[in-house]
Amino acid sequence: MARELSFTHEDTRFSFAIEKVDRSKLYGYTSVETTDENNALCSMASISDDGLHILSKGCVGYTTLSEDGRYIAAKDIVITNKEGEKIEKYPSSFNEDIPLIASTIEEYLQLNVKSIYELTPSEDDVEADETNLLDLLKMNKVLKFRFCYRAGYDADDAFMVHNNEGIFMIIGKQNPFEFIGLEQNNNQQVEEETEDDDFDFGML
Amino acid sequence: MNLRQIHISNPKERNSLVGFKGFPLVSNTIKTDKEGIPTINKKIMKGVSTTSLDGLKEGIGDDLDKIAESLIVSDPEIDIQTLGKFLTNTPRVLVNDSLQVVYKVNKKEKVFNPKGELVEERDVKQLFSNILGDTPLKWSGKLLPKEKAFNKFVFIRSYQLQHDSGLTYDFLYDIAKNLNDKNSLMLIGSGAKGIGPVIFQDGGTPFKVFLEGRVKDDQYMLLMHLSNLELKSLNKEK
Repeated sequence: MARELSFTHEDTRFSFAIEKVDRSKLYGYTSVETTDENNALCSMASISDDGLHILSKGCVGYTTLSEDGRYIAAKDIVITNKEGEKIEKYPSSFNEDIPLIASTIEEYLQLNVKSIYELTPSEDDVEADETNLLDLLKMNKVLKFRFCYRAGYDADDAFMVHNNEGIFMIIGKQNPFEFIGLEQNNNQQVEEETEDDDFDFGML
Repeated sequence: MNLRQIHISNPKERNSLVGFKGFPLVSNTIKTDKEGIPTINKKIMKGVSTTSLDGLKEGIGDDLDKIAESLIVSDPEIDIQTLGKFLTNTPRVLVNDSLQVVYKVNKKEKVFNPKGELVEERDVKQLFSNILGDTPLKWSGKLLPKEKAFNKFVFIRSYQLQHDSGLTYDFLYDIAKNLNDKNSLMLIGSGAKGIGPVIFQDGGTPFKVFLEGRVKDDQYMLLMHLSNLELKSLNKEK
């Protein structure tokens, strides 16, 4: 059974099951099959830095080390924000009510998308949940919320939109785009003005 | 910082190379040790092909019970010489089922429908980047009001276009203002009509590209939204 999310807005609660939407389920997909001279299937692997070892699937891992190269066990790792302040884990969005906030099309369009889900109303109260949420979406067009599929330290930005196909939630991270003016660009070098405006023909 | 460049034209069919930048999906958190000093992530060797399951099958046979017994008795999966060794560059290679590197290969592209059924086998299509060609990406003339477009397509990635001179500032500001005034997105693309796919790097994914412009006084924000997916219900497709 699909897992359900519980959204809230003011005093109303809506329960919806989610189903992941991906390109391959809508349009199909392609895959490249590689074979050797004997028509046997090939697979991808890596080779080690010294060129002596073939590293097939599962042979490469990651470990966490301290600044001086000591191994650190997962239980001893502390997660902080960029300011160095210790942060608490966000619970999974499946385990708490998710408050919905009105947003704008412009804010939504600044999202880099990680995943898309289609919402299906809870079987308990199909009509009430769908109608109420659709009314809210018709009024606001875009709703925003924080989403954590699993409990973790880094929540995603999420938006809810609807069209005549259904209600969808789009998960990702918002781009911090900013307005730029003539003098704000990354490549243009502006020479500093000098006090001396006299032409020096000697330098020619 | 050097920006990536793209060759685009405006509604008057004037063209220019302009920069664009995006923001990768990065975490907002930092891992530290107990003293608050940031930790380092290192890639390590967990094993080599001969100690992997496929490698063990080569030596012991396909019987998983025999492999399990051998793991208990003689630890063939552990190679003390290599286990935990740091890795930096690990070039990718193709291997056959005997885990030997293969040098001559044949490639075939298989096309599957949404149900996962094979519908076609063909030679691999090589896709080349078309954002820096001699011919700029063109305005298709297809304006889509933001209110209609935002829930019709999924804009997977967005990039911001940026000027690198006074001339390109005017060029991009005018495009942004034009779109801002119309409160619409504009499809730009390859081909004579500007509706063809845009490929950002060789072998990359083809996208439909929509420009969105916003202006505030003499500042602008010109965004390029990439889409390869319509916002459609899977249940209706079934």
